[in-house]
Amino acid sequence: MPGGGSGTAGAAPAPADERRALADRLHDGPQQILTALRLVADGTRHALEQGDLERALLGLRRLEELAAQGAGELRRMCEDLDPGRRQAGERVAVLGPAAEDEVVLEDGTELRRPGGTPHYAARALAAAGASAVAIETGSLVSRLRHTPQGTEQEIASIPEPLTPEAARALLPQLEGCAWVLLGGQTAGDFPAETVRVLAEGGLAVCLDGQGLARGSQTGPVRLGPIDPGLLNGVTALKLNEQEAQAAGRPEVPELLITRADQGCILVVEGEEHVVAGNGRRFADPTGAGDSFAALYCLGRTRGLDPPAAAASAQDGVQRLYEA
Amino acid sequence: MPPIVAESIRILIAEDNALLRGVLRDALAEAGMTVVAEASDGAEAVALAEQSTPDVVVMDMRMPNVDGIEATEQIAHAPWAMPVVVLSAYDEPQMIEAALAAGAASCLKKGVGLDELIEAIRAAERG
Repeated sequence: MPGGGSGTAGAAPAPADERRALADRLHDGPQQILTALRLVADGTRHALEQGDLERALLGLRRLEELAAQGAGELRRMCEDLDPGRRQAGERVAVLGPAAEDEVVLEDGTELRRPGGTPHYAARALAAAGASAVAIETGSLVSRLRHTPQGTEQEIASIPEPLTPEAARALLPQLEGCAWVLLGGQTAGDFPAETVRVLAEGGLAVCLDGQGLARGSQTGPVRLGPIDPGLLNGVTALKLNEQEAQAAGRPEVPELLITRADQGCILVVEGEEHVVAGNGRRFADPTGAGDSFAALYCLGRTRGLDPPAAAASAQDGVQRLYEA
Repeated sequence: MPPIVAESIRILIAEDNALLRGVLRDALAEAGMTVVAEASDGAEAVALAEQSTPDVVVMDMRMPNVDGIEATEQIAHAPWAMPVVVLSAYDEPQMIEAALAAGAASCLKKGVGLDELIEAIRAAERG
């Protein structure tokens, strides 16, 4: 950062520069969120005035999400300004592209809403009393159709990859996190070198393997094998059942195979642990995998061993998704 | 309060913040407008304005590459010019004057209500 012309090499940033940087963060974070809150609140009021309760309810949910997002952003700013406020062990880093999800639920309801791993992981962590250092590394458009047989998904655009240089630049922001969750949507989102940079930065890496199993093409998602070269440095890999069927069981220290309301399977050092679910279906499972992975990282951060962390994550996801 | 459902005015949204861009898109669509294109910086806004010929451009002032003021100037003075409503996080009169001098139809402060935004877009479209 420039020193305003008055400093010497290695000197602290000039106060004017720090104030400018703070103003930029206030503009890019809380101010945008508050602007969005006002517009969504007005839209929700319009919906109520028109008697459109369904749209009003969606608006209220969006307001809740925005309020939580704003509170999280302000908390992160406060922690950055005064690192003493940071609660060690309660933060999980989450990196991944932001998604614009076009969702069709089982009952035919069509929704368009923000999605992606940072979004859902931050929500799950907040519900667990922790916080996410959630950083959106790109963006994409995704179409999901939930059916009783499962979820059909289409990727409409490929997100930008997180380059090793960009990952290195992010490391200071991830200080205080023991785990980072990488929410890849396609195979190229987190190159091998990027994973290596994060792992060498002292972070345990949990990778959502959905992107690796999908490949890097737009259109309907077709699952395939995973390139093991992309798993170097990964501590925990999360797949769902379909992805695991297509990709096999890649060798990683902690392999998690999620089965929604049926629970999950954890493989550690070749030993399989089964975590039972309660079998109560998720009305809208979008983001359940992201939430599970985030809560698993939180459990591991809190010192739980892998089976206990998986059980804790399963329990947390069920509470979130049955509500 | 102005009517909630506006006629289908075609809109280009230029906003670098993905969250706010999405909220603007949904809010304007629910108000009966048609979002024909979205840009995340000023240069993209100018290119998409020429390509998609919206009735009105809703332009953020502070964006990367080409900022909102410069993009507004290029759009307002192009042969295919169309009205631009600028959204500004800044409160300083000189910033608002700069937007208007660049050719903006109006300049609203971020935090504006939906009704006021819709009315500004409709007024810009009417000329």
